[in-house]
Amino acid sequence: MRHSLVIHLTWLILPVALNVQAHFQELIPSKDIATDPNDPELTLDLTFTHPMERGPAMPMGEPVQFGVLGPGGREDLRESLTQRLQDGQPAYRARYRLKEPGDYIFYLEPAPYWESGEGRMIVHDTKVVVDGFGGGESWDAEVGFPVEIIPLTRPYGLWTGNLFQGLVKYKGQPVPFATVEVEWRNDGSVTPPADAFVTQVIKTDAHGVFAYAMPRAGWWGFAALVEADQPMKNPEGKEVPGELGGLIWVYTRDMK
Amino acid sequence: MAYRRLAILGIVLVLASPAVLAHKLKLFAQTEGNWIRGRVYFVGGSAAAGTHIEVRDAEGRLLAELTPDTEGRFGYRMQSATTEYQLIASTGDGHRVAQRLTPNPLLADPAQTHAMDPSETASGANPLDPASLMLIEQTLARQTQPLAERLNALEDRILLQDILGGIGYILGLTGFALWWRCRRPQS
Repeated sequence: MRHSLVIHLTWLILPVALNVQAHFQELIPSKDIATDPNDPELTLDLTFTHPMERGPAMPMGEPVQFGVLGPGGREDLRESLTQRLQDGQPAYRARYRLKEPGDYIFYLEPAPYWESGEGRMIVHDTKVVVDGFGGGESWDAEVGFPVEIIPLTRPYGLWTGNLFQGLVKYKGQPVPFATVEVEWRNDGSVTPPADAFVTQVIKTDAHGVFAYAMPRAGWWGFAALVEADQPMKNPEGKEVPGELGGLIWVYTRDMK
Repeated sequence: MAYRRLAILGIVLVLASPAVLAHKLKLFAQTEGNWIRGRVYFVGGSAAAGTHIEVRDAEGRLLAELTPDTEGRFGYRMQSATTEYQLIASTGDGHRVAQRLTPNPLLADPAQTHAMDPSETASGANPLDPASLMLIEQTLARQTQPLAERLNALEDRILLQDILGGIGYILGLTGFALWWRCRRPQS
């Protein structure tokens, strides 16, 4: 009896243990391209989760920064955040009204997350670009994250199969051979045949540039990961290594 | 020599033409208080300053003709808050774009409510005056917006509580049934 209980517990814990690697901070707008001036409202969902495995979500602390870099300049949007629950864990939602045509770069610096399984702190600075009524050419503007992906491909209006290219910067300098993790935000239609398909891994070249062809329609997350050069403090006040991520989300559509 | 010139001309034309093709005229207009404000621009955001804009009502009657500023911005003061408007922008070379606009107080910019002409709000002695009606609707919309957001957040929370409650019911009823079964042979 006790033996089978142990086996059951092992089965319960095993998938959690396998999930450890692919944390992704999501910042998903209700639309990537706004076309109708009579419908300028957006909803943004902020979730710290495993996109390909559809969860489980991890608790988000109160974001350090949340705002938009738009045609009207930089705007702090922390006031617009409302807390919600995702898989029983705190996550956030925000509403925003596009006020004029232009590119809107929404950005989020989440509260540092203590990953006890890996013994390190994780900060995933995340951004997503929304095309406001076809009025912008500043989609490659830099938010100013410590680690940031500068898109070399316009990050909206992408077909399925398009190649997405980006430049990874850490403290303003290109990072050669940096790891970039890629995940598709699973809608339930794909069961990854092996762990290697959950998170795809690419590296930047000697100039800090990466490229990835997106094979399916939907939201794609790119996470450039850099080991922090300074240790960070965990909740117990102990100095631990830090993982700094720079993420960007892009949306692809089938060509039909 | 002539060939070279022709080749250069060709290259210049090839370089110039895609930019021209990509210049699709766009129109963006929203209501702010009792104003329609907007911008005419080409895809990519550059201003379409030399554009002519017509404001028409739902039946197509011409209400006004506007010329945007150098940044392509324009404004029009609405006569009544209830009509549907039609905006038509056109450039001399045949680019044309139209947008229908139904003034919706829910979308109005709250900042504009304060900026409204004081003489208009003062004329609100008659409670059915459209300007004050709109002001009331805007205030209401602004004040109920956080409430609606909180309701949405609450709905998510209620869902979790429902699930937990459901599990509780199942456990409770199973427990009761087991207790009943255990108890019966003794009695």
